Amino acid sequence: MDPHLTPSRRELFRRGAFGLGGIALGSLLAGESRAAGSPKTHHPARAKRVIFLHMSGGPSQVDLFDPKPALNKYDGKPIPAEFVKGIEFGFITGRESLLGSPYRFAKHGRCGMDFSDSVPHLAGVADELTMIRGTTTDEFNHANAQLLLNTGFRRVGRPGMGAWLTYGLGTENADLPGFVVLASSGKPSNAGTGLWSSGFLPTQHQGVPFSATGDAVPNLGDGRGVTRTQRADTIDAIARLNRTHLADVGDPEIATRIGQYELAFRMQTSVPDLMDVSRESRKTLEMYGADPAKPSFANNCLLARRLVERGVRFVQVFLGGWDHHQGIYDAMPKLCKQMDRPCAALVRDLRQRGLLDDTVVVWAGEFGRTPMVQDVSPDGMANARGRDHHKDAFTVWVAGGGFKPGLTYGETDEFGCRVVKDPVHVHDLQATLLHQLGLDHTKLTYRYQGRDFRLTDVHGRVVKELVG
Amino acid sequence: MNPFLLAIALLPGQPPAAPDFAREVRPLLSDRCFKCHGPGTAKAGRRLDRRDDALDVLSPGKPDKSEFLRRIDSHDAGERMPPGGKAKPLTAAERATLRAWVAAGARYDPHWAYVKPVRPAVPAGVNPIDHFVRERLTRAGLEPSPPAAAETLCRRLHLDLIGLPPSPEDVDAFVTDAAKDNRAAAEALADRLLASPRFGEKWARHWLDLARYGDSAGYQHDDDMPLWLFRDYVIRAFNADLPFDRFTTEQIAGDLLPSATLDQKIATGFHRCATVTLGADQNAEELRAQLVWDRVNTVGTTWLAASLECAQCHAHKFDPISHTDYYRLYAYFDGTVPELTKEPGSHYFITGGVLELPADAATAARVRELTAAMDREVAAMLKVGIDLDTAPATFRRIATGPAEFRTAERVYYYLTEEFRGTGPKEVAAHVARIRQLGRELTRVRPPRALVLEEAKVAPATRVFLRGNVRTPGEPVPPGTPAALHPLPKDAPANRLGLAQWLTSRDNPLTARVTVNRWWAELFGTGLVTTTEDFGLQGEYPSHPELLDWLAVEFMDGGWRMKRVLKHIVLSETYQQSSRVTAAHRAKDPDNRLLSRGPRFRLDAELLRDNALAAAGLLKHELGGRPAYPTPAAAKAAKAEFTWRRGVYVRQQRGDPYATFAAFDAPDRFACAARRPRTNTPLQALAVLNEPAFAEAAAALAARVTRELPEAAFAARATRLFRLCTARRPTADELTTLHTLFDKTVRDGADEVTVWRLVATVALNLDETLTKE
Repeated sequence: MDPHLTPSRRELFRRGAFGLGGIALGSLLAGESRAAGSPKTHHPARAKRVIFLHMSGGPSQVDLFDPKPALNKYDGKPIPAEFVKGIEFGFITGRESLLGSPYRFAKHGRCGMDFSDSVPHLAGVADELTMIRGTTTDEFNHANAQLLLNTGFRRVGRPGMGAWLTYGLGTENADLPGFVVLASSGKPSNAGTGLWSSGFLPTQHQGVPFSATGDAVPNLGDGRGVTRTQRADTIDAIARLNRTHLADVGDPEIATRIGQYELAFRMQTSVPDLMDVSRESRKTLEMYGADPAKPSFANNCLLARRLVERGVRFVQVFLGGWDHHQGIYDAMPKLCKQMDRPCAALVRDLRQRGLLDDTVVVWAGEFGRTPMVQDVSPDGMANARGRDHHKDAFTVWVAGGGFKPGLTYGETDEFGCRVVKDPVHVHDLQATLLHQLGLDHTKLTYRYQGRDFRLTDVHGRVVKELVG
Repeated sequence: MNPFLLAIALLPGQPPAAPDFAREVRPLLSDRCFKCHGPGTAKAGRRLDRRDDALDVLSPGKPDKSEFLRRIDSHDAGERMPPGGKAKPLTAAERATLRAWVAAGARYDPHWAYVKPVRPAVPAGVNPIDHFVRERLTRAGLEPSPPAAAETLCRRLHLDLIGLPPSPEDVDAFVTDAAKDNRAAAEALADRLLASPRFGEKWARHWLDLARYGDSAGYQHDDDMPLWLFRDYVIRAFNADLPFDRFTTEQIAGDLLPSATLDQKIATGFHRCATVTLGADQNAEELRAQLVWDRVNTVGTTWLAASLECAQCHAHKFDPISHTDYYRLYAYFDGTVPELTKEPGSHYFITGGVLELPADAATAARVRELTAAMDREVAAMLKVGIDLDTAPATFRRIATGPAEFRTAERVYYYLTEEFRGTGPKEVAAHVARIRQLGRELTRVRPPRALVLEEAKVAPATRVFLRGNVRTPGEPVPPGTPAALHPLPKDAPANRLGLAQWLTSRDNPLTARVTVNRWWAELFGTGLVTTTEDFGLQGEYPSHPELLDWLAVEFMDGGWRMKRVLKHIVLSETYQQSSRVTAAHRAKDPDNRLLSRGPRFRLDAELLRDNALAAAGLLKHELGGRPAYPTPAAAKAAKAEFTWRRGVYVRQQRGDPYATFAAFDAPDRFACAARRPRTNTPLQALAVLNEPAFAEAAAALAARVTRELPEAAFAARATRLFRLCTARRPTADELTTLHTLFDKTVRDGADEVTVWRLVATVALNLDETLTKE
C-alpha cells in the first residue's frame, strides 16, 4: 500500500459516514443501533463467526455419514409401505426399490464416528465433528428448501442467516463486508440471490459474492489516470453531498448509500490482499489441495479461513452438483474428491490457528436423498440410477464454536426414511447456531409491516444436547 | 387483519363480528390447513378448501359443536391441528378469528383475485386515485405529502415515462410553465413524453423481463437466438399504444390470426424466448416438454400472476389449479412444429419456426449468389483429400456426416462457432474463403426471427404423471383451469381461444395483474406487493378498491396503457414530494400507504442510460441488432460500437453484462415479474469505475467544457450538476465541488482530469442514482 495514502484515508474515515454519517445512520434507523459498534449479545457467546459450507443439490447421507446395511441387504427389493407412508417425494412415488450403497462404512476417531470410504479426510477429523443424523426440513424442492435452510422461510424475501448475524452482531472488520459469499461452481443457488439477501433488513447486511475468477470483485481498480488520492477525494465529496441531501430528504436509503461507497473504497485495498492465497505456505496449500492459479472449492475453503481470520462474521461457501437423480455413483466420487479434503483441511487449519473454538463450521445440504432408487430410464440406460430428494431425514455436520466434538446425534430408521430419535429441524439448527453466537433466536427480531420477524419464523428450539 | 374487529370479537358477551374471509380467514386456512386438507392432498379424506366438503366438521353457527374448532383448540398433541412440525401453530388470536368465523356461519367468499373487478363508487369531482389513497391515509392518521418541486416532478416524469433525464432546457421550460399552471404543465409534459419514441424503449424492458427475452439460448451451448425483431415489436407496440388485448392476442397467437401480418407472426417470438439446452445427450421429448412447460408457466406469471408450475407435477397445493388443468393449458402450446434438430453425434440446433424478413430483389439475388458460392466452396473442400484420422473432429464430421447437414450454413457454423483454427493446410484456403463468404452472407441477408408455427397434425397431448415425460397419462384436449372463468363461447380450441380467454372481460386477473405491475414500476411496490402471485399465498392488496378501479378503467378505456399511465402520473398521489418525515418513518416506513411520492434507486438499464444521456453519448435510433455494452466487448466480437440504451444491450444469457447483473437485472432464464432492489459495494465500484460509467464521466466533463468554453467554475459545475440531478446545486454543494476542484489542481492534475473527477462525483450522487 502506498504510505502517502494513509493520511487521506484516515481523514476520510474521520469525516466520512463512519464519523458524522455513522451517527446519522444510528439515529435514523429504528432498531438499527446494534449494527454499529460492539456486538450486543443476549448471553455470553461461545462463537463469533460462522463458515457455512452449503452442499447445494442435496448430498446422499446414506452414502456418506449414515450407514444403512439394510439397504444393501434388501437392495432391489421394494421398500415396505409403512416406512414411506405420508412422506412426500419430489419425483418418485415412494414405492420404488431400495438402493444399496457401494461404499464401505467404518468407525473413525476416538469417538467411533461412522464415515463411508468416500470421505477419508473427513473421517480423519472425526473427533472434531458433531454429526447430526436426524436433520429434517419441510421442503422437497431445491429453491424452497435452500431458502428455508438459509433464511428460515420457504419463499424469497427474508434475510439470510449471515444478514441476521451482521445485523445482530455488527462487523469486526470495517474494510470488508460482514457477510461474504463464495460460489465454487456452476449455479450454486437455485433461488438466485435470495439466499444471501438482506430481505427487509437494511441492505448493508446483504451478502457480497466474491468471484473466484478474474477480479474477485468487478471494477476494483480505479481506472486509467485516477490516483488513489484523487479517488479518496472523490468519495469524500460524494459523501459530503449525500449527507447534505440526507439532511434535506430524510430517506434512510441515503445513509446506506454513504456506507456503500465507503465500504467500496476500503475494499479496493482489502480485497486484493485477502484473495492472494499464494501467500499461504506450501504446506497449507497442500493440506487444502488448493492451487492459487486455479479457482476451486479448495481455494474457497482456504479463503473462508482467511476471511474469518479478518473478522468477517459469516462466510457462505457453496459447492453445487449434489442433485444426483441419475448416475449417482459416477458423479459422487468426483464430487466427494472435491469436497472431502478441503473441508477436513479447513477444520484442521482452524484448530491449528486457535480459531476453531470460536468459529462454527456447518456442512449442510438443503435436504438429503432417498434410500430408494430413482430410475429415470426404466428401459435400462446404464448408470441411469440415482436417488430422489429426501426431506424427512438427512445428515448435517457441525464443527467448533462449542458444539460437542465427536458426538453423533439422532437416529434414523433401518432404511434411513425417518428420524426415530432426536430430530433436529433446520429451524432448530438455526436456533442453536444463533445461541452459540450469543443470540436468542426468539429475541433477535426486526419489525416489518407491523410484525416482528425472526430467522426461525415462529419455530425453532435450541438443541442443548448438541452444545457443551 | 383489522385489530379493531378482532378486539370486538374477543370481548365477552358481545355478539361475534364476522371476520373478513378473504383478508383474515382464508390466509390462515391456506397457510395452515390446505397443504394437507386442500386441492392437492385430502388427508383423512378431508378437504377444507371447499365449504361443501367441510360442513360436517365446521358446524357453521354452532362453534361449540364444531369438530374443526375442537381440533384446533385441543390440548392433546395427538389431536391438535395443525400437527406439530407440519405448519406453524395457530396463535390464540388466530384461533379466536376462526371461532368467530364459524360462529358467524363459516362463509366462504371466493378468493378476491378470482372475482371479476367492478368499478368502485367514487364521489363526484374527486380524482379516484387520490380518493382511495386519502381514505387509507386518513384511517392511519397520516396526511398526504405536499407536491414535489417542479424540477423534481419534471425529472420524475421523464424517468418514469421515457427512462431518460430531462435536459436543463427541458427543466427550465417546465418550471416556467408550472409556475403559471401546474396541472396544465404536467399534462402537457406527460403528453409529450408519452408520445416520445423513447417511451417504448423504457417500457419494453419491463415487458422483456416477463418474456425472458435474450439473445442467446443459455446453458452450455449459449448459441445466438435471433429474437431481437420480437424485442423491436414490443417497443413499437408500446409506442403505438397497441391495446393490451391485441398485444396479448398477437403474442399468444399472432400466427393464427386471419391473414397474419409479419408483425403479428414476429409477436409470437414471446414464446420462442424460452431457453434451451443444446447439449448432445438430451432427450428430445424432454427438451420439447421443457420448452412447452416454460411457455405455460410464463403465460401463468405474465397474465394471471399464477404460479402454474406447481401443477406441472401434481395438483397445486394452494391454488385451484389441477394437474389436468395444467396439461390442458399445455395442449395449447403442444401443436407447434419441432423447433430443434439434432445432428448425429453432435448437439441440437434451432430450426423450426424461423421467419426471414422479405428481401428486395437485389438482396435476394446477392444472397443466392453468396449461398451458391459457399456451396461450391464446401464441395471443393470436400474433394480435397485430407487425412481424416488426424484432422480436427469438425472436419471429420463435415466429411462423413449426413449430407443434409453439409449445407453452406451448417458448415459455416462449424467453422466459426465450433472450430476456430485455420484447418489442415490442404483445405485452409477453402476454410478462409467459406468464412469470408459466410460473414458477408450474414451481413447482407435480411434478419430472421424465431416464431411459433403450428404443425399440420394436431397434437395428442397427455398429462405427464408427476411431470415425467416418460409416464404419460390421460389424453387431454386444450382448455383453461376449471376453477376460473369459462372459455368464451365459440372460442376455438387453439391458441386464439386461449388469447380470447386471457383478454375476456370475465377474466378477473389479466387487467389487475397488468395495472399492478405498472403501478410497481412507478411507485417501486405494487398495490399487491407480490406482483408475481395473485393466488392464495400472495399478498392482499394495500388498496383493493384502487386496484379494481384501475383495472376496470383500463378495460373500459380500450385496454390502452398510455391512458392509465396518464391517469396515474397526473394524480396528486404520484406528484407528492418524496421527502421522508418522522411521521412517515413511524407510520409508513415502506410507503405502502402512499403517504409520499416514490423514491427508489433506478433499475440497471436506466442507471446506465442516465449516465450516458447526461454525458451526451447515447445514440438514439429505434430498434436494431443487439448492441455490445462496452467498446472492449465490441472489439472482442469484431463488431462496430456505438453507445446504445440498455434495452438494446446484448443479452448473452450464459454470460450476462456484469454491471446489469450487479444492479439486479434478471438473467432472463425465466420469467421475472419483480426485480429485487439491492444495495452492495459492488454497485458503487461499478458506477465509479466500470468502462461505460467511466466513459460517461469523461464525456460529461468534456461536454460542459465544450458547451461553456469561457465560463467560470460555478457555471460549468452548475450545468454538470443539473445534467445529472435536474436541479441547481446550492451554494454549499458548489463549495464542496470547488474544494475538490482546488485540491486536485493543487495536487498537479490537469484540467481534463479535474473535470472528470467533478463529473464522477455528480454521476455517483445518491440523487443521480435515484428517482426522487
